[in-house]
Amino acid sequence: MAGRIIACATYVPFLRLTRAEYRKAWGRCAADISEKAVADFDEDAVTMAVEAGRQVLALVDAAGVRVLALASTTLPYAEKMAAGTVAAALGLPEKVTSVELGTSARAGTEALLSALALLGGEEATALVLAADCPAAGPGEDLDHALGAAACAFVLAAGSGGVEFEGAASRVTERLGERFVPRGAVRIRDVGVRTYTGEAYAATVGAVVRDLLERLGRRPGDYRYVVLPQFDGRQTASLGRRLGFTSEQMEAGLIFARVGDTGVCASLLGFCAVLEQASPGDRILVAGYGSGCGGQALSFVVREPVLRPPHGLHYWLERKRYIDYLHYLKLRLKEQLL
Amino acid sequence: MAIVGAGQTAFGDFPEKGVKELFAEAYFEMLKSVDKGLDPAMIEAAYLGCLSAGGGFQLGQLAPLLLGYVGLPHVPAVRLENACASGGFALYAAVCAVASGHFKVVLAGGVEKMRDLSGQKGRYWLGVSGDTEYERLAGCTFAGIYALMANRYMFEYGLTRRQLSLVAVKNHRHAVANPKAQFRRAVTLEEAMEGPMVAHPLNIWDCSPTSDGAALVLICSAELAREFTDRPVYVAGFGAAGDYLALHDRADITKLRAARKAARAAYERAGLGPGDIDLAEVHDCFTIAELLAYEDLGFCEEGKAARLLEEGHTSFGGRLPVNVSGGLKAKGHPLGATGCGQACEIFAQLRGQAVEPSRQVPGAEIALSHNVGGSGGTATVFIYRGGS
Amino acid sequence: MGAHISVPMYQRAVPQRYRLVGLRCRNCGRVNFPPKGVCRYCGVGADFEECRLSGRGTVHSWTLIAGAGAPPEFAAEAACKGSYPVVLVELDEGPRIIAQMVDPPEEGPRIGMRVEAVFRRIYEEEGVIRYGFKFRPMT
Ligand SMILES: [Zn+2]
Repeated sequence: MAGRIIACATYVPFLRLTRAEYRKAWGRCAADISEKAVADFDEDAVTMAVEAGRQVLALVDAAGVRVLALASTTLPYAEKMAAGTVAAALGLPEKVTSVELGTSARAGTEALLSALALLGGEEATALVLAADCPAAGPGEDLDHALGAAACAFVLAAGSGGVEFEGAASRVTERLGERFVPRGAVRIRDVGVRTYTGEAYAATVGAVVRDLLERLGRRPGDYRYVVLPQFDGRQTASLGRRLGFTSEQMEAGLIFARVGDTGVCASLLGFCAVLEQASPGDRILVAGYGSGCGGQALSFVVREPVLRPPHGLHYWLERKRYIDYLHYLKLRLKEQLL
Repeated sequence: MAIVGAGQTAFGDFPEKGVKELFAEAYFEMLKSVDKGLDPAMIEAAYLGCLSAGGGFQLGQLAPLLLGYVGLPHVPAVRLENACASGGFALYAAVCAVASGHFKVVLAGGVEKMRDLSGQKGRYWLGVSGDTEYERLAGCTFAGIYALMANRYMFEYGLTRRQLSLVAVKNHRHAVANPKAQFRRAVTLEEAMEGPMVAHPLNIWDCSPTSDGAALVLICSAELAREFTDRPVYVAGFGAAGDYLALHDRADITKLRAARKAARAAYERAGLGPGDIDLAEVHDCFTIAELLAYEDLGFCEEGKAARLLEEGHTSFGGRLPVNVSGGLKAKGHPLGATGCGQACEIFAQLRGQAVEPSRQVPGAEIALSHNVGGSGGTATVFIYRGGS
Repeated sequence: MGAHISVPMYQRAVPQRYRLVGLRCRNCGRVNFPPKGVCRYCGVGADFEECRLSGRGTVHSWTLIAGAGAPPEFAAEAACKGSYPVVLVELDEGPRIIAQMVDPPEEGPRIGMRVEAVFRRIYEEEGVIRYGFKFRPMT
């Protein structure tokens, strides 16, 4: 399965909630964030996906897009195509082959792999959109980390660009870790941190090792490594255990500034890395889905990606801080009136 | 054409009265006002303005319902709707009908029952008279549309917050002596400047209220007028016009072209100009609207409305008193009743019959009324001449 | 109580609301948005071709809708935000349009400010989310 990334873009909502606001409201902050991005009243996964999508489609021809892969765990309807909304807003051809992925945060890397597969060898482009704004009960520790963001990638068949080298994937049964019961909208878990932490470390660790083995690589062969970020310490500690240095990890660690962005939990960091990578750099990016499964993908930079005028740094710096009461109103918006 | 009778309820909050009772009250007052009496059988047609028919319970065939309630079931009657200008268009239709010679004696009136509605339902009805798709469902409100005009006017002409409030202060002061007014209480400039915001820069004191009320006038041909009264009020000029409904389609949002065109037609027909007007009732649904009206009606040059106001010319006692009734702002604004309510006020003023002598404009002979639909999608202007 | 715009009616406006598709008059060349039956500019053209607007424009006027006064469809949003800005924007292609402003600067909107269209949820009725455009300050 050959293919390459030719463009990428990100979107982070304007609103931020700081660790200090959690301390004021709850006496503590259960997440290892300095601040997190919060979707506004009128934003959802679809609008954020369009925000990121519009930026990359200013770089490539929308009419040439043959594949659309949309990843989100928080699409606004439980049943109803969201890809159609996005395609209509972006002006994509109706003949686009679309897939929607989203029963776990791993949907982000699943969308990259699906788009590469659907593209086959065709002389065309694929648009991958990942957007998420997960929420838990406002009183739950789980909610403290949950942020919001979107990323967009344009993929093409063939070599060059940021070339896809290979992937590893694993799936296994793991009960009670981060789930949304059917009909509900808020994330739950059984609240046993060591248990859920172990599932993450074991699964992501296994696929990273699988990938290194399959490609005959060592950790040091990668200039950048981006592991999925649902918690800052957990990600850093897994990286160390896998033999990666903080220099390899640093550029892709975004968690502390946006929080847990669901399907963007590693893709946002991946975009940060793509924005600065130089020809010859190798990049490893991993995804993780609760319950549970992992994926690891390897890329080599042949030529830099096309980037919109506003990179991730711009979106991270463009912000307005809100207080916890404002945040609570946003979290409870369905019940406001 | 002449107005030979006029009746209106007080405007305000009347939980004990519905649309029918309000209409009947105005009707009986109108009958009483006809100096030489009116045989109701002479009424040949009725034109009634109404937007919501009391919250939508009778959007179809409201007019026969009301006429039947006062014992006139066989009179051809029709409800006209142009939002806040419904009454003005009812009057316009009645005047045209008599002018054509087809009818000789007709009723023009209007009624609105707004105070039964919850705030939410009230906002529903206030928000269906602009371009619903592109104004209300873009999150804008009726006040918001006038606020867009006000902000632009402030930007272009340097109008201040204080000057806007002066309109409210004047009209509230006028309403104190008007027994028909909803708010018979003066407001200080400080109060008016610091009310709770509705749509920046407009605060609550810049906005007319929701009101219950009804108003009716009896129109007949000029030849017949003396059979009803020795003091008719003649309709010397009348004009109506429209504009793009949506504010976004109008090239200049600091003018109401509909009002300008209606005014031009009315002045031309009357052979009069702005300088001849002794008294005007203008459509001050928001304070900014009164200032725009000064310019649209030719009372002053463009951008000079605030000066006309500040110099006191449009206050009671000034050379061209505007809204001595209190206007929509303080007399009240029962949408469908407003246009004919203005005619009722002028009927009394030009006959020297303002109930409280303290508010009679002395020696007034020529008057004007100006009624605007929504943000200016429609407008009517009438010029009246006292007959004594 | 909403000002009911049926779902099929909203559906017909999807090209305008989702991606600002306007109509270019074949008589005078100017762009009508939202669509018109007869050209708003030359007053005679009734033959049009579709064109996509850039979404960029300039604030012609603005207001802030206070929480308590918002239309019923926007009451929850107003309750959440306290108030929200609404702008009358003159698009670079000529037409003007009213929409909400998102991510306003601390000091509020101002006349002459450059803005760009963004895709947002406008309101929801019958469980159906009505998406459309709003404007955001350009940087
Ligand atoms: Zn044309």
